[in-house]
Amino acid sequence: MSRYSTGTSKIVSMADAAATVPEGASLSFGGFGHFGHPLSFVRELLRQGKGGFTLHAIAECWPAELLTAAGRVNHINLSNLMFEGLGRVRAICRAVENGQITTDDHSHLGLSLRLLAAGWDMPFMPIRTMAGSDLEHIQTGPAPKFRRIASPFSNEQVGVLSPLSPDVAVVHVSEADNQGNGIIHGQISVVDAQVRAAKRVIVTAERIVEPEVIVRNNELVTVPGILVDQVVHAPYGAYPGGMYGLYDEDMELMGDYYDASRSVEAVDAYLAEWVFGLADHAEYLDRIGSQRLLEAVVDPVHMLARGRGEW
Amino acid sequence: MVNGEFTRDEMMTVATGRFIQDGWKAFIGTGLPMVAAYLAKATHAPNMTLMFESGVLAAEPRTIARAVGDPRLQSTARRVSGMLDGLLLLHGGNVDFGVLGGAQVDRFGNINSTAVGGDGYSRPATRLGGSGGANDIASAAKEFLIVVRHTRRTFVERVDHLTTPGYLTGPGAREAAGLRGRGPIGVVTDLGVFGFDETTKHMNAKSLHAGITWSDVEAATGFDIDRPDDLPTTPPPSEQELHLLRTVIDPRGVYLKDSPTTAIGGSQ
Repeated sequence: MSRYSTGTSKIVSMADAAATVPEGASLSFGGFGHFGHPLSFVRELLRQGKGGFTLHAIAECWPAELLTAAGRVNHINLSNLMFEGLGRVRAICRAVENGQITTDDHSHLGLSLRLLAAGWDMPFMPIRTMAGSDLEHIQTGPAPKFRRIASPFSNEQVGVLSPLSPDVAVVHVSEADNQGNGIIHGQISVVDAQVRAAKRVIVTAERIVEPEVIVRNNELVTVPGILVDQVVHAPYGAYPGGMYGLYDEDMELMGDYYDASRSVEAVDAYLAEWVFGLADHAEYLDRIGSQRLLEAVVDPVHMLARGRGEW
Repeated sequence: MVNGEFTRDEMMTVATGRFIQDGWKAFIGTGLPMVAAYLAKATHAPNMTLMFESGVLAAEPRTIARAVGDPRLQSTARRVSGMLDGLLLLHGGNVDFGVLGGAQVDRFGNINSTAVGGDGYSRPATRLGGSGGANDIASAAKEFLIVVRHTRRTFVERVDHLTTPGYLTGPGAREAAGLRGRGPIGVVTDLGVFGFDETTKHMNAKSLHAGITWSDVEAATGFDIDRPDDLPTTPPPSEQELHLLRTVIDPRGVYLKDSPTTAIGGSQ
Protein backbone atom coordinates (compact mmCIF):
# COMPACT_ATOMS: atom_id res chain seq x y z
CA MET A 1 0.00 0.00 0.00
CA SER A 2 1.41 3.34 -0.99
CA ARG A 3 2.00 5.99 1.67
CA TYR A 4 0.89 8.56 -0.93
CA SER A 5 -2.70 9.43 -1.69
CA THR A 6 -4.07 7.32 -4.50
CA GLY A 7 -7.52 8.94 -4.61
CA THR A 8 -10.13 7.27 -6.75
CA SER A 9 -8.35 5.44 -9.53
CA LYS A 10 -8.83 6.94 -12.99
CA ILE A 11 -7.82 3.71 -14.68
CA VAL A 12 -10.37 2.46 -17.21
CA SER A 13 -10.33 0.03 -20.12
CA MET A 14 -9.32 1.21 -23.57
CA ALA A 15 -12.89 0.65 -24.80
CA ASP A 16 -14.36 2.71 -21.94
CA ALA A 17 -11.94 5.56 -22.57
CA ALA A 18 -12.61 5.67 -26.32
CA ALA A 19 -16.37 5.54 -25.63
CA THR A 20 -16.17 8.95 -23.92
CA VAL A 21 -15.11 10.64 -27.17
CA PRO A 22 -18.27 12.13 -28.69
CA GLU A 23 -19.16 12.11 -32.38
CA GLY A 24 -17.87 15.31 -34.02
CA ALA A 25 -15.35 16.07 -31.25
CA SER A 26 -12.18 18.09 -31.78
CA LEU A 27 -9.14 15.99 -30.93
CA SER A 28 -5.41 16.47 -30.43
CA PHE A 29 -2.94 13.59 -30.08
CA GLY A 30 0.59 13.32 -28.69
CA GLY A 31 3.47 12.03 -30.80
CA PHE A 32 6.21 13.22 -33.13
CA GLY A 33 7.79 11.61 -36.18
CA HIS A 34 7.29 7.86 -35.79
CA PHE A 35 7.37 8.01 -31.97
CA GLY A 36 4.96 8.36 -29.09
CA HIS A 37 1.61 8.33 -30.90
CA PRO A 38 -1.29 6.77 -28.92
CA LEU A 39 -2.02 4.31 -31.72
CA SER A 40 -3.68 1.58 -29.63
CA PHE A 41 -6.24 4.24 -28.65
CA VAL A 42 -6.67 5.36 -32.25
CA ARG A 43 -7.39 1.78 -33.38
CA GLU A 44 -10.04 1.41 -30.65
CA LEU A 45 -11.58 4.76 -31.60
CA LEU A 46 -11.76 3.53 -35.20
CA ARG A 47 -13.44 0.29 -34.14
CA GLN A 48 -16.12 2.20 -32.22
CA GLY A 49 -17.21 3.84 -35.45
CA LYS A 50 -17.45 7.48 -34.45
CA GLY A 51 -16.31 10.25 -36.75
CA GLY A 52 -16.95 13.78 -37.93
CA PHE A 53 -13.82 14.81 -36.05
CA THR A 54 -11.82 18.01 -36.18
CA LEU A 55 -8.09 17.52 -35.52
CA HIS A 56 -5.60 20.00 -34.06
CA ALA A 57 -2.58 18.21 -35.48
CA ILE A 58 0.94 19.47 -34.91
CA ALA A 59 3.07 16.41 -35.47
CA GLU A 60 0.67 13.47 -34.92
CA CYS A 61 0.97 12.16 -38.47
CA TRP A 62 -0.06 8.59 -37.71
CA PRO A 63 -3.29 9.26 -35.74
CA ALA A 64 -4.35 11.91 -38.26
CA GLU A 65 -3.61 9.70 -41.25
CA LEU A 66 -5.39 6.59 -39.91
CA LEU A 67 -8.49 8.52 -38.83
CA THR A 68 -8.64 10.32 -42.17
CA ALA A 69 -8.04 7.10 -44.13
CA ALA A 70 -11.14 5.66 -42.43
CA GLY A 71 -13.20 8.73 -43.36
CA ARG A 72 -13.61 9.99 -39.78
CA VAL A 73 -12.21 13.51 -40.19
CA ASN A 74 -13.89 16.69 -41.49
CA HIS A 75 -11.30 19.37 -40.77
CA ILE A 76 -7.63 19.56 -39.73
CA ASN A 77 -5.89 22.56 -38.17
CA LEU A 78 -2.32 21.54 -38.87
CA SER A 79 1.29 22.61 -38.95
CA ASN A 80 2.98 19.60 -40.54
CA LEU A 81 1.76 16.17 -41.51
CA MET A 82 4.17 13.86 -43.30
CA PHE A 83 5.94 10.58 -42.69
CA GLU A 84 9.61 11.20 -42.00
CA GLY A 85 11.77 9.01 -44.20
CA LEU A 86 8.74 7.75 -46.16
CA GLY A 87 6.89 10.66 -47.71
CA ARG A 88 3.41 12.16 -47.87
CA VAL A 89 0.45 11.21 -45.66
CA ARG A 90 -1.42 10.04 -48.73
CA ALA A 91 -4.91 9.52 -47.31
CA ILE A 92 -4.92 13.06 -45.91
CA CYS A 93 -3.46 14.51 -49.11
CA ARG A 94 -6.02 12.63 -51.21
CA ALA A 95 -8.89 13.84 -49.01
CA VAL A 96 -7.71 17.46 -49.38
CA GLU A 97 -7.18 17.14 -53.14
CA ASN A 98 -10.67 15.61 -53.53
CA GLY A 99 -12.32 18.27 -51.38
CA GLN A 100 -13.44 15.73 -48.76
CA ILE A 101 -11.79 17.53 -45.85
CA THR A 102 -10.78 21.12 -45.15
CA THR A 103 -7.54 22.32 -43.60
CA ASP A 104 -6.08 25.43 -42.00
CA ASP A 105 -2.28 25.65 -41.97
CA HIS A 106 0.01 27.04 -39.26
CA SER A 107 3.67 26.97 -38.41
CA HIS A 108 4.66 24.53 -35.67
CA LEU A 109 5.16 27.38 -33.24
CA GLY A 110 1.89 29.04 -34.26
CA LEU A 111 -0.26 25.99 -33.63
CA SER A 112 1.61 25.15 -30.43
CA LEU A 113 1.03 28.68 -29.11
CA ARG A 114 -2.69 28.54 -29.99
CA LEU A 115 -2.98 25.46 -27.76
CA LEU A 116 -0.95 27.15 -25.04
CA ALA A 117 -3.19 30.24 -25.24
CA ALA A 118 -6.18 27.99 -24.56
CA GLY A 119 -4.34 26.17 -21.79
CA TRP A 120 -3.39 29.43 -20.07
CA ASP A 121 -6.83 30.94 -20.73
CA MET A 122 -5.42 33.87 -22.69
CA PRO A 123 -7.55 35.71 -25.29
CA PHE A 124 -4.57 35.72 -27.66
CA MET A 125 -0.85 34.98 -27.82
CA PRO A 126 1.68 37.21 -29.61
CA ILE A 127 4.03 35.71 -32.20
CA ARG A 128 6.62 37.13 -34.61
CA THR A 129 6.59 34.28 -37.14
CA MET A 130 3.86 33.38 -39.71
CA ALA A 131 3.63 37.12 -40.57
CA GLY A 132 3.82 38.01 -44.26
CA SER A 133 3.29 34.44 -45.45
CA ASP A 134 0.17 32.64 -46.65
CA LEU A 135 -0.08 31.17 -43.14
CA GLU A 136 -1.25 34.69 -42.26
CA HIS A 137 -3.12 35.47 -45.47
CA ILE A 138 -5.10 32.25 -45.93
CA GLN A 139 -7.46 31.56 -43.04
CA THR A 140 -9.88 28.73 -43.66
CA GLY A 141 -10.61 27.44 -40.18
CA PRO A 142 -13.93 27.73 -38.36
CA ALA A 143 -12.40 30.58 -36.34
CA PRO A 144 -9.76 33.20 -37.28
CA LYS A 145 -6.24 32.20 -36.25
CA PHE A 146 -3.97 35.21 -36.87
CA ARG A 147 -4.47 38.97 -36.62
CA ARG A 148 -2.18 41.95 -36.16
CA ILE A 149 -2.63 44.43 -33.37
CA ALA A 150 -0.78 47.51 -32.16
CA SER A 151 1.46 46.73 -29.24
CA PRO A 152 0.22 48.62 -26.16
CA PHE A 153 3.85 49.08 -25.05
CA SER A 154 5.70 50.09 -28.24
CA ASN A 155 5.08 51.52 -31.69
CA GLU A 156 5.12 48.16 -33.44
CA GLN A 157 2.41 45.99 -34.92
CA VAL A 158 2.54 42.42 -33.66
CA GLY A 159 0.91 39.22 -34.84
CA VAL A 160 -1.46 37.53 -32.40
CA LEU A 161 -2.95 34.04 -32.42
CA SER A 162 -6.36 32.98 -31.19
CA PRO A 163 -6.67 30.19 -28.59
CA LEU A 164 -7.52 26.69 -29.74
CA SER A 165 -8.98 24.16 -27.34
CA PRO A 166 -9.49 20.51 -28.29
CA ASP A 167 -12.46 18.73 -26.73
CA VAL A 168 -10.18 15.78 -25.97
CA ALA A 169 -6.40 15.38 -25.88
CA VAL A 170 -5.04 11.82 -25.98
CA VAL A 171 -1.39 11.38 -25.06
CA HIS A 172 0.77 8.30 -24.67
CA VAL A 173 3.33 8.28 -21.83
CA SER A 174 6.08 5.97 -20.63
CA GLU A 175 4.78 5.71 -17.05
CA ALA A 176 1.74 7.01 -15.19
CA ASP A 177 0.21 6.50 -11.77
CA ASN A 178 -3.49 5.84 -11.37
CA GLN A 179 -4.13 9.60 -11.18
CA GLY A 180 -2.57 10.20 -14.60
CA ASN A 181 0.66 11.84 -13.47
CA GLY A 182 2.66 10.95 -16.57
CA ILE A 183 6.36 10.69 -17.38
CA ILE A 184 7.52 10.84 -20.99
CA HIS A 185 11.15 9.89 -21.60
CA GLY A 186 12.74 11.84 -24.43
CA GLN A 187 11.27 14.88 -26.14
CA ILE A 188 7.64 15.65 -25.30
CA SER A 189 6.61 17.21 -28.62
CA VAL A 190 3.76 19.53 -27.59
CA VAL A 191 2.08 17.37 -24.95
CA ASP A 192 2.57 20.07 -22.30
CA ALA A 193 0.32 22.48 -24.22
CA GLN A 194 -2.14 19.81 -25.41
CA VAL A 195 -3.05 18.57 -21.92
CA ARG A 196 -3.48 22.14 -20.66
CA ALA A 197 -5.61 23.18 -23.64
CA ALA A 198 -8.01 20.23 -23.78
CA LYS A 199 -11.37 20.07 -22.03
CA ARG A 200 -10.76 16.37 -21.32
CA VAL A 201 -7.48 14.46 -21.17
CA ILE A 202 -6.98 10.74 -21.72
CA VAL A 203 -3.56 9.28 -20.85
CA THR A 204 -2.49 5.92 -22.23
CA ALA A 205 0.61 4.50 -20.53
CA GLU A 206 3.20 1.83 -21.24
CA ARG A 207 3.36 1.10 -17.51
CA ILE A 208 1.09 1.90 -14.58
CA VAL A 209 3.32 2.60 -11.60
CA GLU A 210 2.95 3.20 -7.87
CA PRO A 211 2.91 6.85 -6.72
CA GLU A 212 6.38 6.26 -5.20
CA VAL A 213 7.83 5.89 -8.70
CA ILE A 214 6.30 9.19 -9.79
CA VAL A 215 7.42 10.98 -6.62
CA ARG A 216 10.98 9.70 -7.00
CA ASN A 217 11.10 11.12 -10.57
CA ASN A 218 8.75 14.04 -10.04
CA GLU A 219 10.90 16.47 -12.05
CA LEU A 220 10.18 14.32 -15.12
CA VAL A 221 6.38 14.50 -14.86
CA THR A 222 5.16 16.20 -18.06
CA VAL A 223 1.47 15.42 -17.59
CA PRO A 224 0.04 16.76 -14.31
CA GLY A 225 -2.52 14.31 -12.96
CA ILE A 226 -4.84 17.13 -11.95
CA LEU A 227 -5.56 17.68 -15.65
CA VAL A 228 -6.26 14.03 -16.43
CA ASP A 229 -9.68 12.40 -16.67
CA GLN A 230 -8.88 8.82 -17.61
CA VAL A 231 -5.83 6.54 -17.58
CA VAL A 232 -5.47 3.44 -19.75
CA HIS A 233 -2.77 0.77 -19.44
CA ALA A 234 -1.46 0.30 -22.99
CA PRO A 235 1.83 -1.62 -23.25
CA TYR A 236 3.29 -1.17 -26.74
CA GLY A 237 0.57 1.45 -27.13
CA ALA A 238 2.55 3.41 -29.73
CA TYR A 239 3.25 0.35 -31.91
CA PRO A 240 4.02 0.08 -34.83
CA GLY A 241 5.57 3.43 -33.93
CA GLY A 242 8.29 3.58 -31.30
CA MET A 243 8.48 4.80 -27.71
CA TYR A 244 11.75 6.49 -26.81
CA GLY A 245 13.82 4.46 -24.36
CA LEU A 246 11.55 1.40 -24.67
CA TYR A 247 11.11 0.17 -28.24
CA ASP A 248 11.92 1.25 -31.79
CA GLU A 249 9.44 1.93 -34.52
CA ASP A 250 8.67 -1.03 -36.80
CA MET A 251 9.54 0.47 -40.17
CA GLU A 252 8.51 -2.69 -42.00
CA LEU A 253 4.96 -2.58 -40.61
CA MET A 254 4.78 1.18 -41.09
CA GLY A 255 6.04 0.68 -44.62
CA ASP A 256 3.22 -1.81 -45.21
CA TYR A 257 0.72 0.93 -44.42
CA TYR A 258 2.63 3.44 -46.53
CA ASP A 259 2.55 1.09 -49.53
CA ALA A 260 -1.17 0.42 -48.99
CA SER A 261 -1.90 4.14 -48.85
CA ARG A 262 -1.31 4.44 -52.60
CA SER A 263 -4.93 3.41 -53.21
CA VAL A 264 -8.23 3.69 -51.39
CA GLU A 265 -8.89 -0.03 -51.86
CA ALA A 266 -5.56 -1.08 -50.39
CA VAL A 267 -6.02 1.27 -47.41
CA ASP A 268 -9.45 -0.23 -46.75
CA ALA A 269 -7.92 -3.71 -46.86
CA TYR A 270 -5.14 -2.62 -44.48
CA LEU A 271 -7.63 -1.18 -41.98
CA ALA A 272 -9.81 -4.30 -42.26
CA GLU A 273 -6.81 -6.47 -41.46
CA TRP A 274 -5.03 -4.43 -38.78
CA VAL A 275 -7.89 -2.53 -37.11
CA PHE A 276 -11.41 -3.82 -37.73
CA GLY A 277 -10.37 -7.47 -37.94
CA LEU A 278 -8.90 -7.43 -34.44
CA ALA A 279 -11.06 -7.24 -31.30
CA ASP A 280 -8.75 -5.15 -29.14
CA HIS A 281 -5.16 -4.16 -28.37
CA ALA A 282 -4.34 -7.56 -26.84
CA GLU A 283 -5.35 -9.26 -30.07
CA TYR A 284 -3.27 -6.72 -32.00
CA LEU A 285 -0.17 -7.56 -29.94
CA ASP A 286 -0.84 -11.30 -30.37
CA ARG A 287 -0.92 -10.72 -34.10
CA ILE A 288 2.45 -8.92 -34.02
CA GLY A 289 3.92 -11.71 -31.91
CA SER A 290 6.26 -11.70 -28.93
CA GLN A 291 9.41 -12.31 -30.96
CA ARG A 292 8.88 -9.21 -33.05
CA LEU A 293 7.94 -7.09 -30.02
CA LEU A 294 11.08 -8.21 -28.17
CA GLU A 295 13.29 -7.49 -31.18
CA ALA A 296 12.06 -3.89 -31.05
CA VAL A 297 13.22 -3.37 -27.45
CA VAL A 298 16.00 -0.79 -27.35
CA ASP A 299 19.50 -1.04 -25.98
CA PRO A 300 19.55 1.13 -22.82
CA VAL A 301 22.70 3.01 -23.85
CA HIS A 302 22.11 3.55 -27.55
CA MET A 303 18.31 3.82 -27.28
CA LEU A 304 18.04 1.83 -30.49
CA ALA A 305 17.12 -1.81 -31.05
CA ARG A 306 19.65 -4.19 -32.49
CA GLY A 307 19.22 -4.81 -36.17
CA ARG A 308 17.70 -1.37 -36.85
CA GLY A 309 20.79 0.15 -38.48
CA GLU A 310 24.19 0.93 -37.03
CA TRP A 311 24.47 2.65 -33.64
CA MET B 1 33.63 5.69 -59.08
CA VAL B 2 37.16 6.47 -60.19
CA ASN B 3 39.44 8.85 -58.40
CA GLY B 4 38.54 12.54 -58.69
CA GLU B 5 34.90 11.99 -59.68
CA PHE B 6 32.02 12.97 -57.47
CA THR B 7 28.24 12.81 -57.61
CA ARG B 8 25.77 15.68 -57.76
CA ASP B 9 24.67 14.77 -54.25
CA GLU B 10 28.25 15.08 -53.02
CA MET B 11 28.70 18.46 -54.72
CA MET B 12 25.43 19.77 -53.21
CA THR B 13 26.40 18.48 -49.80
CA VAL B 14 29.87 20.02 -49.85
CA ALA B 15 28.54 23.36 -51.19
CA THR B 16 25.91 23.41 -48.41
CA GLY B 17 28.48 22.64 -45.73
CA ARG B 18 30.64 25.58 -46.82
CA PHE B 19 27.87 27.99 -45.77
CA ILE B 20 28.01 26.72 -42.17
CA GLN B 21 30.30 28.81 -39.97
CA ASP B 22 32.10 27.64 -36.86
CA GLY B 23 30.25 28.44 -33.66
CA TRP B 24 26.85 28.75 -35.30
CA LYS B 25 23.71 27.39 -33.66
CA ALA B 26 21.71 25.86 -36.49
CA PHE B 27 18.41 24.18 -37.37
CA ILE B 28 19.41 21.78 -40.13
CA GLY B 29 16.79 19.03 -40.52
CA THR B 30 17.53 15.69 -42.19
CA GLY B 31 18.60 14.60 -45.67
CA LEU B 32 21.58 16.06 -47.55
CA PRO B 33 21.69 19.17 -45.30
CA MET B 34 22.28 16.95 -42.26
CA VAL B 35 25.12 15.19 -44.07
CA ALA B 36 26.48 18.67 -44.87
CA ALA B 37 26.28 19.66 -41.21
CA TYR B 38 28.20 16.52 -40.14
CA LEU B 39 30.81 17.35 -42.78
CA ALA B 40 31.13 20.96 -41.64
CA LYS B 41 31.47 19.80 -38.04
CA ALA B 42 34.19 17.35 -39.05
CA THR B 43 36.13 20.03 -40.95
CA HIS B 44 35.84 23.81 -40.59
CA ALA B 45 33.00 24.16 -38.06
CA PRO B 46 33.72 21.82 -35.11
CA ASN B 47 31.89 24.13 -32.69
CA MET B 48 28.60 24.24 -34.58
CA THR B 49 25.52 23.32 -32.50
CA LEU B 50 22.75 21.19 -34.01
CA MET B 51 19.22 22.06 -32.85
CA PHE B 52 15.86 20.54 -33.81
CA GLU B 53 12.27 21.72 -33.65
CA SER B 54 11.35 18.82 -31.37
CA GLY B 55 13.42 20.44 -28.61
CA VAL B 56 16.60 18.42 -29.16
CA LEU B 57 19.56 20.69 -28.37
CA ALA B 58 23.25 20.11 -29.19
CA ALA B 59 22.91 16.61 -30.60
CA GLU B 60 26.17 14.83 -31.51
CA PRO B 61 25.03 11.58 -33.15
CA ARG B 62 27.62 8.86 -33.73
CA THR B 63 25.97 7.77 -36.99
CA ILE B 64 23.75 9.51 -39.50
CA ALA B 65 20.21 10.18 -38.24
CA ARG B 66 17.31 9.00 -40.39
CA ALA B 67 14.78 11.54 -39.15
CA VAL B 68 14.34 14.53 -36.85
CA GLY B 69 12.62 12.10 -34.46
CA ASP B 70 15.53 9.61 -34.64
CA PRO B 71 16.67 8.35 -31.21
CA ARG B 72 20.25 8.89 -32.45
CA LEU B 73 19.67 12.62 -31.94
CA GLN B 74 17.87 12.50 -28.59
CA SER B 75 20.28 10.00 -27.05
CA THR B 76 23.33 12.19 -27.82
CA ALA B 77 21.89 15.65 -27.03
CA ARG B 78 22.85 17.86 -24.10
CA ARG B 79 19.22 18.80 -23.54
CA VAL B 80 15.88 17.40 -24.68
CA SER B 81 12.61 19.26 -24.13
CA GLY B 82 9.70 19.83 -26.50
CA MET B 83 8.38 21.80 -29.43
CA LEU B 84 7.48 24.99 -27.54
CA ASP B 85 10.85 25.16 -25.81
CA GLY B 86 12.81 24.41 -28.98
CA LEU B 87 10.94 26.87 -31.17
CA LEU B 88 10.83 29.61 -28.55
CA LEU B 89 14.63 29.38 -28.28
CA LEU B 90 14.53 30.12 -32.01
CA HIS B 91 11.89 32.85 -31.60
CA GLY B 92 14.06 34.49 -28.96
CA GLY B 93 16.83 35.13 -31.48
CA ASN B 94 19.23 32.40 -30.38
CA VAL B 95 19.57 30.60 -33.72
CA ASP B 96 22.09 31.74 -36.34
CA PHE B 97 21.21 29.60 -39.29
CA GLY B 98 18.67 27.24 -40.82
CA VAL B 99 18.59 25.05 -43.93
CA LEU B 100 15.26 24.64 -45.72
CA GLY B 101 13.94 22.80 -48.76
CA GLY B 102 10.59 22.83 -50.52
CA ALA B 103 8.56 21.94 -53.59
CA GLN B 104 8.70 25.43 -55.13
CA VAL B 105 11.03 28.42 -54.79
CA ASP B 106 10.60 31.84 -56.42
CA ARG B 107 13.08 34.61 -57.33
CA PHE B 108 12.74 36.16 -53.84
CA GLY B 109 13.50 32.88 -52.10
CA ASN B 110 9.94 32.33 -50.95
CA ILE B 111 9.23 28.61 -50.46
CA ASN B 112 6.13 26.47 -50.94
CA SER B 113 5.89 23.23 -48.97
CA THR B 114 2.08 23.15 -48.63
CA ALA B 115 0.06 22.87 -51.84
CA VAL B 116 0.78 22.82 -55.59
CA GLY B 117 -1.51 23.46 -58.55
CA GLY B 118 -5.22 22.74 -58.92
CA ASP B 119 -7.66 25.36 -57.64
CA GLY B 120 -5.33 26.72 -54.98
CA TYR B 121 -4.96 26.10 -51.28
CA SER B 122 -8.34 24.53 -50.54
CA ARG B 123 -8.37 22.21 -53.55
CA PRO B 124 -4.79 21.70 -54.75
CA ALA B 125 -3.63 19.19 -57.33
CA THR B 126 -0.99 18.05 -54.85
CA ARG B 127 -1.17 18.54 -51.10
CA LEU B 128 2.18 18.49 -49.27
CA GLY B 129 3.23 18.30 -45.62
CA GLY B 130 2.97 21.96 -44.69
CA SER B 131 5.31 24.36 -42.90
CA GLY B 132 6.20 22.54 -39.74
CA GLY B 133 9.00 24.61 -38.26
CA ALA B 134 10.15 25.99 -41.65
CA ASN B 135 8.16 29.23 -41.47
CA ASP B 136 9.40 29.80 -37.93
CA ILE B 137 13.02 29.14 -38.93
CA ALA B 138 12.87 31.40 -42.02
CA SER B 139 11.20 34.14 -39.98
CA ALA B 140 13.33 34.04 -36.84
CA ALA B 141 16.75 32.52 -37.58
CA LYS B 142 19.34 35.19 -38.30
CA GLU B 143 19.70 33.82 -41.83
CA PHE B 144 18.86 30.69 -43.78
CA LEU B 145 19.96 28.67 -46.80
CA ILE B 146 17.71 26.98 -49.36
CA VAL B 147 18.78 23.55 -50.64
CA VAL B 148 16.70 22.04 -53.47
CA ARG B 149 17.09 20.12 -56.70
CA HIS B 150 16.99 22.44 -59.69
CA THR B 151 14.05 21.88 -62.05
CA ARG B 152 11.53 24.09 -63.84
CA ARG B 153 8.80 22.65 -61.60
CA THR B 154 10.72 23.81 -58.53
CA PHE B 155 12.05 27.22 -59.67
CA VAL B 156 8.81 29.06 -60.46
CA GLU B 157 7.78 32.65 -61.16
CA ARG B 158 5.28 32.59 -58.27
CA VAL B 159 4.99 29.96 -55.54
CA ASP B 160 1.46 28.52 -55.42
CA HIS B 161 1.47 28.86 -51.63
CA LEU B 162 3.87 31.12 -49.77
CA THR B 163 4.53 28.80 -46.84
CA THR B 164 7.90 30.15 -45.83
CA PRO B 165 9.06 33.76 -46.27
CA GLY B 166 12.09 34.61 -48.36
CA TYR B 167 12.19 38.28 -49.28
CA LEU B 168 8.36 38.18 -49.81
CA THR B 169 7.57 40.84 -52.46
CA GLY B 170 11.05 42.40 -52.46
CA PRO B 171 13.15 45.00 -50.65
CA GLY B 172 11.72 46.08 -47.29
CA ALA B 173 8.92 43.51 -47.25
CA ARG B 174 10.37 41.35 -44.46
CA GLU B 175 10.93 44.41 -42.31
CA ALA B 176 7.36 45.61 -42.99
CA ALA B 177 6.02 42.22 -41.91
CA GLY B 178 8.00 42.48 -38.68
CA LEU B 179 10.26 39.50 -39.35
CA ARG B 180 13.47 39.49 -37.28
CA GLY B 181 15.71 37.30 -39.44
CA ARG B 182 17.60 38.71 -42.42
CA GLY B 183 16.19 36.13 -44.85
CA PRO B 184 17.77 33.69 -47.31
CA ILE B 185 21.51 34.11 -47.93
CA GLY B 186 21.81 31.57 -50.70
CA VAL B 187 20.43 28.67 -52.69
CA VAL B 188 22.34 25.45 -53.30
CA THR B 189 21.09 23.19 -56.09
CA ASP B 190 22.50 20.32 -58.11
CA LEU B 191 23.42 22.88 -60.80
CA GLY B 192 25.10 25.65 -58.84
CA VAL B 193 25.22 28.08 -55.96
CA PHE B 194 22.96 31.14 -56.04
CA GLY B 195 22.47 34.24 -53.94
CA PHE B 196 20.27 37.33 -53.76
CA ASP B 197 21.04 40.83 -55.04
CA GLU B 198 21.44 43.24 -52.13
CA THR B 199 19.30 45.92 -53.76
CA THR B 200 16.57 44.06 -55.67
CA LYS B 201 16.53 40.84 -53.58
CA HIS B 202 16.32 38.93 -56.89
CA MET B 203 18.05 35.58 -57.06
CA ASN B 204 21.40 35.70 -58.83
CA ALA B 205 24.05 33.14 -59.75
CA LYS B 206 27.26 32.80 -57.75
CA SER B 207 28.88 29.73 -59.29
CA LEU B 208 28.00 26.74 -61.45
CA HIS B 209 29.07 23.22 -60.54
CA ALA B 210 31.65 21.54 -62.77
CA GLY B 211 30.16 20.44 -66.08
CA ILE B 212 27.08 22.68 -65.81
CA THR B 213 26.42 25.39 -68.40
CA TRP B 214 24.32 28.55 -68.14
CA SER B 215 21.81 27.10 -70.57
CA ASP B 216 21.34 24.15 -68.17
CA VAL B 217 20.35 26.69 -65.50
CA GLU B 218 18.05 28.64 -67.82
CA ALA B 219 16.33 25.45 -68.95
CA ALA B 220 15.65 24.46 -65.34
CA THR B 221 14.47 27.85 -64.07
CA GLY B 222 11.00 29.36 -64.56
CA PHE B 223 12.16 32.96 -64.02
CA ASP B 224 15.12 35.12 -65.02
CA ILE B 225 18.05 34.50 -62.71
CA ASP B 226 20.54 37.38 -62.74
CA ARG B 227 23.80 36.29 -64.33
CA PRO B 228 26.95 38.14 -63.29
CA ASP B 229 29.70 38.80 -65.82
CA ASP B 230 32.08 36.62 -63.86
CA LEU B 231 30.56 33.20 -63.18
CA PRO B 232 33.13 30.84 -61.66
CA THR B 233 32.99 27.07 -61.26
CA THR B 234 32.02 25.91 -57.77
CA PRO B 235 35.20 24.60 -56.11
CA PRO B 236 34.85 20.80 -56.31
CA PRO B 237 34.84 18.61 -53.20
CA SER B 238 38.34 18.02 -51.88
CA GLU B 239 39.80 14.53 -51.45
CA GLN B 240 39.40 14.95 -47.68
CA GLU B 241 35.73 15.94 -48.00
CA LEU B 242 34.97 12.99 -50.28
CA HIS B 243 36.82 10.63 -47.94
CA LEU B 244 34.80 11.85 -44.95
CA LEU B 245 31.47 11.62 -46.79
CA ARG B 246 32.08 8.13 -48.20
CA THR B 247 33.84 6.37 -45.37
CA VAL B 248 32.90 8.17 -42.16
CA ILE B 249 29.67 10.18 -42.40
CA ASP B 250 27.37 8.28 -44.76
CA PRO B 251 29.18 5.07 -45.78
CA ARG B 252 25.89 3.18 -46.23
CA GLY B 253 24.44 5.78 -48.57
CA VAL B 254 21.46 6.63 -46.33
CA TYR B 255 21.26 10.01 -48.06
CA LEU B 256 24.13 10.10 -50.54
CA LYS B 257 23.19 7.95 -53.49
CA ASP B 258 26.15 6.77 -55.53
CA SER B 259 24.20 6.62 -58.75
CA PRO B 260 26.14 6.70 -62.03
CA THR B 261 23.23 8.53 -63.68
CA THR B 262 23.73 11.49 -61.38
CA ALA B 263 27.50 11.40 -61.45
CA ILE B 264 29.19 14.61 -62.48
CA GLY B 265 32.71 15.73 -62.00
CA GLY B 266 36.13 16.59 -63.28
CA SER B 267 36.50 13.87 -65.87
CA GLN B 268 33.18 14.47 -67.58
